[in-house]
Amino acid sequence: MGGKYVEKSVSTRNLSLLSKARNHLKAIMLGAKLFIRPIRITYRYPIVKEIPQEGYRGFIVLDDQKCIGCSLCARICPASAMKMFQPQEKKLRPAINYERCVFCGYCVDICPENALKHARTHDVVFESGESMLYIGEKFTVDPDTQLLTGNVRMYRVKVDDKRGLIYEPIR
Amino acid sequence: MGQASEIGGGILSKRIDDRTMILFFGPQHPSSGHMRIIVKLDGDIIVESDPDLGYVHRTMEKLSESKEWIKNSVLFERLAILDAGNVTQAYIIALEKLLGIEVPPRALYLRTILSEINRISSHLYGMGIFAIMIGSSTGYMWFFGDREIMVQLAERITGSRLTHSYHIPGGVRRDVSPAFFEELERGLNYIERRLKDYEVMFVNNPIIRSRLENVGVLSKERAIELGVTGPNLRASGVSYDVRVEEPYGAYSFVDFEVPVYREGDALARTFQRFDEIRQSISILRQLMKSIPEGPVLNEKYLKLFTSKMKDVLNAERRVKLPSLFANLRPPPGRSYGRVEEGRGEIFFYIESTGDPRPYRVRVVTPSFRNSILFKYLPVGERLADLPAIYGSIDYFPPEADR
Ligand code: SF4
Ligand code: SF4
Repeated sequence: MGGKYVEKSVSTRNLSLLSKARNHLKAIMLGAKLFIRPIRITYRYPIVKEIPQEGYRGFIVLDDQKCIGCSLCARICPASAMKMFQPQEKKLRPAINYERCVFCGYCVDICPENALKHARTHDVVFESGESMLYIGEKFTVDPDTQLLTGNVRMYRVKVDDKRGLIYEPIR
Repeated sequence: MGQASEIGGGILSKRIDDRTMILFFGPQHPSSGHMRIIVKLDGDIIVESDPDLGYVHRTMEKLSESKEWIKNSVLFERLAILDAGNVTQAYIIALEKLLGIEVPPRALYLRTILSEINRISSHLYGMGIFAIMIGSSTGYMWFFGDREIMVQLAERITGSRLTHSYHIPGGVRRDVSPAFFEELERGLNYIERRLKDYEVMFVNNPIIRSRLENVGVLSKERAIELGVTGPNLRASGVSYDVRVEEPYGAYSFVDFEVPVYREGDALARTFQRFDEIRQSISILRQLMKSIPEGPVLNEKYLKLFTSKMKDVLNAERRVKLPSLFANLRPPPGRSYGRVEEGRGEIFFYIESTGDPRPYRVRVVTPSFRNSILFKYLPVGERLADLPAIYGSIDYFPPEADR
């Protein structure tokens, strides 16, 4: 068990004319095959959108009912994206600045009350820097509710033997 | 010094005499980060080459002294996001030695699975950049496109495409579902099939061949002298791989070969990388079959779990972090961690004084060690071969500059 070294060498140097011709032919045939049945990895974003898998670390949503204001999420945040604030009448609550967040998910994973969760949305357009601060009410809205709105087609990605990735329409 | 010619404010070249000139090759973003090579040319033969690095320096080592231990793993993975799993693993191994914490077998297997997925994706990335540097846009599209499969698979394990933040002291953050292994097998079958296509379209292409054969030859003695690491070292006939020399993760539970080519030219380095992808596929298949059941985090930490945390672990196979992690204080001491990354050995030296933050972290990255090649390999070659040499080294500037 374990690894072992194996001596190798590029034996096929200075290809003969015959093997060059054979390689040429193979390449042309492969090109023709792919011309008829191309492998396509990309999709036409944003007309077509990919829904990430379950468990994807996207935007973060706060459940205000569950939060006990323990500040652990703010303490573990490596990017100082999450900070605690105190609304006048209420207890301490976290707020998140998406200008800084790196989506490491530490805050979600350390929350003892499971008050934070990841949404699957990860592409949101902001018009200004200030709008990237999610505080109070705004932090409790799940952006996934917006995921299926608008004139877009939704796909789920699957890994495939022959085509690499296939896109399955889900809407 | 003779006349300097300028375009758009930047000096491009300096004429020295009728035969010689100095050419500023960059600063540019040829692949994945800025760098510049200043070359002195006699006609079109390179007589002197001077790599000018540091454009993407982010003070990572110093910055880490101001962050808690666990936060630094998120910082360091940014030195090579295309290979993040391997980078953080090296840091976490060093940290685990200080903490004196063991990793359960299933977590070791999962770490190694991510490592090998990262290795394939890192090699495909490197080959893609290499291909476009020597003008093969088919190669570029293919390697980059197919790398997406590996990126998707890594996302299935960790929840993030590139910045996985997967390793924590004592284990990993997520377990995988049995369905993942089916997808992994399909992905591996696809890459295996495509390796044959790459051979037909890229490796055996006469143009690619003539641009790589006997270009940028690095002899065995020179490779050792310069302290080169990774596939570049092995393509020059030196048998050295951390996975064999100092096995970590699950490498001692699988059988694998480490190819060692002797020619040391750009073509050998290309073959080296493709062979390593083949080996990674075989390692992944073995790991998949033999992965044991069990916890993915050390018992000592699992004991700290509240019932709410256990519920999440059982329902979603996601490890909640005990609050202790926000304030880890390894006992005073020094340790190191080393891991064979896609581009070579990454080494972390860490020093703790018992504080919640490191006293010192030193990172030696493979690209940093390989960057010396830019000074010696291009000398005596033609200017037109410079991109081929650059590409074949698989140099990643953000990793070198840190
Ligand atoms: S995901 Fe990471 S960076 Fe973003 S707020 Fe949470 S802890 Fe901070
Ligand atoms: S860790 Fe959870 S419970 Fe504590 S403040 Fe943050 S969101 Fe609230």
